[in-house]
Amino acid sequence: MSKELYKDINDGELLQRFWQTQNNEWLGILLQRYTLLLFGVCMKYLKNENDAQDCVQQIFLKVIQEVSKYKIDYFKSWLYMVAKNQCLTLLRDKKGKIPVELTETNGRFVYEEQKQEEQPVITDDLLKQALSGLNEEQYKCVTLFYLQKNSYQRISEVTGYPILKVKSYIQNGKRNLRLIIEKKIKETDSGNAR
Amino acid sequence: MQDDLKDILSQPEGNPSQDQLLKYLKNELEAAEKHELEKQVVDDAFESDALEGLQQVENNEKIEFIVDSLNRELKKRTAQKISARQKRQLKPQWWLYFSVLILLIIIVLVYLFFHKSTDVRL
Repeated sequence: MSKELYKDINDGELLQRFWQTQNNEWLGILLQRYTLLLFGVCMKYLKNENDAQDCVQQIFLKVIQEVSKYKIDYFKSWLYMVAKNQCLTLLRDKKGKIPVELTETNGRFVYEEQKQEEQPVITDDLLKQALSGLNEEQYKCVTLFYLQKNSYQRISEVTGYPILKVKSYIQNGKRNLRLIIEKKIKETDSGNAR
Repeated sequence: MQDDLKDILSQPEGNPSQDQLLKYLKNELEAAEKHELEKQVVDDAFESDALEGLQQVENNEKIEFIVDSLNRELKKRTAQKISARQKRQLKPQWWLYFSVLILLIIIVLVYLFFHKSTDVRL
Protein backbone atom coordinates (compact mmCIF):
# COMPACT_ATOMS: atom_id res chain seq x y z
CA MET A 1 0.00 0.00 0.00
CA SER A 2 2.75 2.42 0.95
CA LYS A 3 4.28 1.82 -2.46
CA GLU A 4 1.15 3.26 -4.08
CA LEU A 5 0.89 6.09 -1.58
CA TYR A 6 4.37 7.45 -2.21
CA LYS A 7 4.80 6.65 -5.89
CA ASP A 8 4.81 10.35 -6.82
CA ILE A 9 7.74 11.10 -4.54
CA ASN A 10 11.09 10.56 -6.21
CA ASP A 11 14.05 8.75 -4.67
CA GLY A 12 15.95 11.94 -3.86
CA GLU A 13 13.03 13.39 -1.97
CA LEU A 14 12.45 10.21 0.04
CA LEU A 15 16.11 10.21 0.98
CA GLN A 16 15.87 13.85 1.95
CA ARG A 17 12.89 13.08 4.20
CA PHE A 18 14.87 10.29 5.84
CA TRP A 19 17.82 12.61 6.47
CA GLN A 20 15.58 15.29 7.91
CA THR A 21 13.51 13.04 10.19
CA GLN A 22 15.93 10.14 10.73
CA ASN A 23 12.82 7.98 10.38
CA ASN A 24 13.76 4.62 8.88
CA GLU A 25 10.28 4.19 7.47
CA TRP A 26 11.22 6.52 4.58
CA LEU A 27 14.20 4.34 3.88
CA GLY A 28 11.92 1.29 3.90
CA ILE A 29 9.64 2.88 1.31
CA LEU A 30 12.63 3.77 -0.84
CA LEU A 31 14.26 0.34 -0.61
CA GLN A 32 10.99 -1.44 -1.42
CA ARG A 33 11.16 0.10 -4.87
CA TYR A 34 14.30 -1.88 -5.54
CA THR A 35 13.57 -5.24 -3.87
CA LEU A 36 12.88 -7.01 -7.17
CA LEU A 37 15.96 -5.54 -8.84
CA LEU A 38 18.16 -6.35 -5.83
CA PHE A 39 16.93 -9.93 -5.81
CA GLY A 40 17.68 -10.14 -9.53
CA VAL A 41 21.23 -8.81 -9.14
CA CYS A 42 21.88 -11.24 -6.25
CA MET A 43 20.53 -14.10 -8.37
CA LYS A 44 22.85 -13.14 -11.20
CA TYR A 45 25.92 -13.33 -8.99
CA LEU A 46 25.01 -16.04 -6.47
CA LYS A 47 22.88 -18.31 -8.71
CA ASN A 48 20.90 -19.62 -5.75
CA GLU A 49 17.49 -18.40 -4.57
CA ASN A 50 18.11 -18.81 -0.83
CA ASP A 51 21.55 -17.19 -0.96
CA ALA A 52 20.10 -14.36 -3.03
CA GLN A 53 17.30 -13.74 -0.50
CA ASP A 54 19.80 -13.69 2.39
CA CYS A 55 22.00 -11.33 0.42
CA VAL A 56 19.10 -8.92 -0.21
CA GLN A 57 18.41 -8.86 3.55
CA GLN A 58 22.07 -8.09 4.19
CA ILE A 59 21.97 -5.28 1.64
CA PHE A 60 18.90 -3.81 3.36
CA LEU A 61 20.68 -3.95 6.70
CA LYS A 62 23.82 -2.41 5.28
CA VAL A 63 21.87 0.44 3.70
CA ILE A 64 19.91 1.11 6.91
CA GLN A 65 23.10 1.15 8.97
CA GLU A 66 25.36 3.01 6.56
CA VAL A 67 23.27 5.36 4.47
CA SER A 68 23.87 8.23 6.88
CA LYS A 69 27.63 7.97 6.39
CA TYR A 70 27.47 8.87 2.71
CA LYS A 71 26.48 11.84 0.68
CA ILE A 72 24.34 10.22 -1.98
CA ASP A 73 23.28 12.18 -5.01
CA TYR A 74 21.86 9.33 -7.02
CA PHE A 75 20.45 6.59 -4.82
CA LYS A 76 19.91 3.97 -7.54
CA SER A 77 23.57 3.93 -8.65
CA TRP A 78 24.77 3.87 -5.06
CA LEU A 79 22.44 0.99 -4.19
CA TYR A 80 23.57 -0.97 -7.24
CA MET A 81 27.17 -0.57 -6.15
CA VAL A 82 26.38 -1.65 -2.58
CA ALA A 83 24.50 -4.68 -3.94
CA LYS A 84 27.30 -5.71 -6.27
CA ASN A 85 29.92 -5.34 -3.55
CA GLN A 86 27.84 -7.39 -1.13
CA CYS A 87 27.45 -10.19 -3.71
CA LEU A 88 31.17 -10.16 -4.49
CA THR A 89 32.04 -10.22 -0.77
CA LEU A 90 29.79 -13.26 -0.27
CA LEU A 91 31.30 -14.98 -3.29
CA ARG A 92 34.80 -14.27 -2.03
CA ASP A 93 33.96 -15.61 1.44
CA LYS A 94 32.43 -18.69 -0.11
CA LYS A 95 35.06 -19.58 -2.64
CA GLY A 96 38.21 -18.39 -0.92
CA LYS A 97 40.35 -15.84 -2.58
CA ILE A 98 38.88 -14.38 -5.71
CA PRO A 99 40.39 -11.09 -6.78
CA VAL A 100 37.59 -8.64 -6.06
CA GLU A 101 37.59 -4.86 -6.24
CA LEU A 102 36.09 -3.67 -3.01
CA THR A 103 37.84 -0.38 -2.55
CA GLU A 104 34.71 1.68 -3.16
CA THR A 105 33.10 0.38 0.03
CA ASN A 106 35.88 1.83 2.14
CA GLY A 107 35.62 5.45 3.08
CA ARG A 108 33.29 8.22 2.16
CA PHE A 109 32.36 8.64 -1.45
CA VAL A 110 30.18 10.94 -3.39
CA TYR A 111 27.96 9.37 -5.99
CA GLU A 112 26.76 11.64 -8.68
CA GLU A 113 24.16 11.18 -11.30
CA GLN A 114 25.73 10.59 -14.64
CA LYS A 115 25.66 13.96 -16.27
CA GLN A 116 24.68 14.18 -19.86
CA GLU A 117 27.53 15.72 -21.72
CA GLU A 118 26.74 18.22 -24.37
CA GLN A 119 26.19 16.14 -27.46
CA PRO A 120 27.59 17.27 -30.77
CA VAL A 121 25.18 17.19 -33.69
CA ILE A 122 25.17 13.70 -35.17
CA THR A 123 23.85 13.48 -38.71
CA ASP A 124 22.17 10.40 -40.14
CA ASP A 125 25.04 9.99 -42.61
CA LEU A 126 27.53 9.94 -39.78
CA LEU A 127 25.42 7.37 -37.92
CA LYS A 128 25.16 5.18 -41.02
CA GLN A 129 28.92 5.34 -41.53
CA ALA A 130 29.51 4.47 -37.90
CA LEU A 131 27.05 1.56 -38.06
CA SER A 132 28.95 0.07 -40.97
CA GLY A 133 32.08 0.24 -38.80
CA LEU A 134 30.65 -2.31 -36.34
CA ASN A 135 31.51 -5.97 -36.59
CA GLU A 136 28.93 -8.30 -38.15
CA GLU A 137 27.33 -9.57 -34.94
CA GLN A 138 27.01 -6.13 -33.39
CA TYR A 139 25.70 -4.61 -36.61
CA LYS A 140 23.06 -7.30 -36.99
CA CYS A 141 21.88 -7.09 -33.37
CA VAL A 142 21.88 -3.28 -33.17
CA THR A 143 19.90 -2.86 -36.40
CA LEU A 144 17.46 -5.66 -35.60
CA PHE A 145 16.89 -4.19 -32.16
CA TYR A 146 16.77 -0.45 -32.73
CA LEU A 147 15.71 -0.15 -36.35
CA GLN A 148 13.44 -3.15 -36.74
CA LYS A 149 12.25 -3.07 -33.12
CA ASN A 150 12.62 -6.78 -32.43
CA SER A 151 12.85 -8.29 -28.95
CA TYR A 152 15.97 -10.15 -27.75
CA GLN A 153 14.12 -13.42 -28.20
CA ARG A 154 13.16 -12.68 -31.81
CA ILE A 155 16.72 -11.55 -32.62
CA SER A 156 18.03 -14.74 -31.06
CA GLU A 157 15.67 -16.79 -33.26
CA VAL A 158 16.63 -14.89 -36.40
CA THR A 159 20.40 -14.85 -35.88
CA GLY A 160 20.89 -18.06 -33.91
CA TYR A 161 22.89 -16.22 -31.20
CA PRO A 162 21.98 -17.03 -27.57
CA ILE A 163 19.84 -14.33 -25.87
CA LEU A 164 22.64 -13.27 -23.50
CA LYS A 165 24.98 -12.79 -26.45
CA VAL A 166 22.34 -10.74 -28.25
CA LYS A 167 22.14 -8.42 -25.25
CA SER A 168 25.89 -7.99 -25.01
CA TYR A 169 26.22 -7.42 -28.79
CA ILE A 170 23.63 -4.63 -28.49
CA GLN A 171 25.31 -3.06 -25.45
CA ASN A 172 28.82 -3.31 -26.88
CA GLY A 173 27.61 -2.28 -30.34
CA LYS A 174 26.07 0.87 -28.92
CA ARG A 175 29.25 1.68 -27.00
CA ASN A 176 31.42 1.12 -30.07
CA LEU A 177 29.07 3.22 -32.16
CA ARG A 178 29.62 6.15 -29.79
CA LEU A 179 33.40 5.66 -29.95
CA ILE A 180 33.41 5.53 -33.74
CA ILE A 181 31.28 8.69 -33.94
CA GLU A 182 33.52 10.53 -31.45
CA LYS A 183 36.56 9.54 -33.49
CA LYS A 184 34.98 10.69 -36.74
CA ILE A 185 33.91 14.02 -35.22
CA LYS A 186 37.45 14.60 -33.92
CA GLU A 187 38.89 13.76 -37.34
CA THR A 188 36.53 16.22 -39.01
CA ASP A 189 37.31 18.91 -36.43
CA SER A 190 41.07 18.54 -36.85
CA GLY A 191 40.61 18.50 -40.66
CA ASN A 192 38.64 21.77 -40.49
CA ALA A 193 41.24 23.33 -38.19
CA ARG A 194 43.92 22.74 -40.76
CA MET B 1 13.80 4.77 -40.55
CA GLN B 2 15.55 8.15 -40.25
CA ASP B 3 13.92 8.77 -36.87
CA ASP B 4 14.75 5.24 -35.78
CA LEU B 5 18.41 5.85 -36.52
CA LYS B 6 18.44 8.55 -33.85
CA ASP B 7 16.83 6.04 -31.45
CA ILE B 8 20.10 4.14 -31.27
CA LEU B 9 21.92 6.83 -29.34
CA SER B 10 19.01 8.31 -27.42
CA GLN B 11 18.51 7.57 -23.74
CA PRO B 12 15.04 6.12 -23.15
CA GLU B 13 12.92 7.96 -20.58
CA GLY B 14 11.64 6.22 -17.47
CA ASN B 15 12.13 2.82 -15.94
CA PRO B 16 9.94 -0.24 -16.26
CA SER B 17 7.64 -0.80 -13.29
CA GLN B 18 7.85 -3.92 -11.15
CA ASP B 19 4.60 -5.19 -12.69
CA GLN B 20 5.97 -4.74 -16.20
CA LEU B 21 9.15 -6.60 -15.29
CA LEU B 22 7.15 -9.48 -13.80
CA LYS B 23 4.93 -9.65 -16.89
CA TYR B 24 8.05 -9.69 -19.07
CA LEU B 25 9.49 -12.58 -17.08
CA LYS B 26 6.22 -14.50 -17.35
CA ASN B 27 6.20 -13.84 -21.10
CA GLU B 28 2.90 -11.99 -20.86
CA LEU B 29 3.91 -8.91 -22.87
CA GLU B 30 3.16 -8.19 -26.50
CA ALA B 31 6.16 -8.11 -28.87
CA ALA B 32 6.16 -4.27 -29.01
CA GLU B 33 5.92 -3.95 -25.19
CA LYS B 34 8.71 -6.48 -24.82
CA HIS B 35 10.94 -4.48 -27.13
CA GLU B 36 10.09 -1.23 -25.34
CA LEU B 37 11.03 -2.70 -21.95
CA GLU B 38 14.27 -4.14 -23.30
CA LYS B 39 15.12 -0.74 -24.79
CA GLN B 40 14.62 0.90 -21.37
CA VAL B 41 16.70 -1.74 -19.62
CA VAL B 42 19.58 -2.21 -22.05
CA ASP B 43 21.48 0.95 -20.98
CA ASP B 44 20.89 0.52 -17.26
CA ALA B 45 23.44 -1.86 -15.73
CA PHE B 46 21.37 -2.35 -12.55
CA GLU B 47 18.19 -3.32 -14.39
CA SER B 48 20.05 -5.28 -17.02
CA ASP B 49 21.86 -7.38 -14.39
CA ALA B 50 18.64 -7.83 -12.42
CA LEU B 51 16.70 -9.07 -15.43
CA GLU B 52 19.48 -11.51 -16.25
CA GLY B 53 19.41 -12.84 -12.68
CA LEU B 54 15.63 -13.04 -12.49
CA GLN B 55 15.56 -15.11 -15.66
CA GLN B 56 17.58 -17.73 -13.81
CA VAL B 57 14.77 -18.33 -11.29
CA GLU B 58 13.22 -21.61 -12.37
CA ASN B 59 9.66 -20.89 -11.26
CA ASN B 60 8.54 -17.38 -12.25
CA GLU B 61 5.52 -17.50 -9.96
CA LYS B 62 7.84 -17.69 -6.96
CA ILE B 63 9.46 -14.32 -7.63
CA GLU B 64 6.44 -12.29 -6.50
CA PHE B 65 6.16 -14.34 -3.34
CA ILE B 66 9.89 -13.89 -2.56
CA VAL B 67 9.70 -10.13 -3.15
CA ASP B 68 6.62 -9.85 -0.91
CA SER B 69 8.29 -11.73 1.92
CA LEU B 70 11.48 -9.63 1.59
CA ASN B 71 9.36 -6.47 1.70
CA ARG B 72 7.53 -7.68 4.82
CA GLU B 73 10.87 -8.27 6.56
CA LEU B 74 12.08 -4.86 5.46
CA LYS B 75 8.94 -3.18 6.79
CA LYS B 76 9.34 -4.93 10.13
CA ARG B 77 12.96 -3.88 10.34
CA THR B 78 12.37 -0.23 9.51
CA ALA B 79 9.28 0.00 11.76
CA GLN B 80 11.06 -1.55 14.76
CA LYS B 81 13.82 1.00 14.63
CA ILE B 82 11.33 3.84 14.88
CA SER B 83 9.42 2.43 17.83
CA ALA B 84 12.65 1.77 19.73
CA ARG B 85 13.78 5.32 19.10
CA GLN B 86 10.38 6.74 19.90
CA LYS B 87 10.36 4.87 23.19
CA ARG B 88 13.71 6.37 24.03
CA GLN B 89 12.80 9.87 22.92
CA LEU B 90 9.19 10.27 23.94
CA LYS B 91 9.16 8.74 27.41
CA PRO B 92 11.38 10.84 29.61
CA GLN B 93 11.99 9.19 32.98
CA TRP B 94 10.10 11.60 35.21
CA TRP B 95 10.36 9.39 38.30
CA LEU B 96 14.15 9.61 38.07
CA TYR B 97 14.18 13.41 37.83
CA PHE B 98 11.71 13.59 40.71
CA SER B 99 13.80 11.30 42.97
CA VAL B 100 16.95 13.32 42.25
CA LEU B 101 15.10 16.52 43.15
CA ILE B 102 13.76 15.05 46.44
CA LEU B 103 17.24 13.78 47.30
CA LEU B 104 18.74 17.23 46.69
CA ILE B 105 16.08 18.88 48.90
CA ILE B 106 16.77 16.35 51.70
CA ILE B 107 20.52 17.00 51.47
CA VAL B 108 19.97 20.78 51.64
CA LEU B 109 17.56 20.39 54.61
CA VAL B 110 19.94 18.10 56.51
CA TYR B 111 22.79 20.54 55.88
CA LEU B 112 20.74 23.49 57.07
CA PHE B 113 19.58 21.58 60.15
CA PHE B 114 23.12 20.72 61.29
CA HIS B 115 24.48 24.13 60.32
CA LYS B 116 21.86 25.86 62.41
CA SER B 117 22.29 23.55 65.40
CA THR B 118 26.09 24.19 65.48
CA ASP B 119 25.41 27.97 65.25
CA VAL B 120 23.10 27.75 68.26
CA ARG B 121 25.69 25.83 70.33
CA LEU B 122 28.33 28.47 69.61
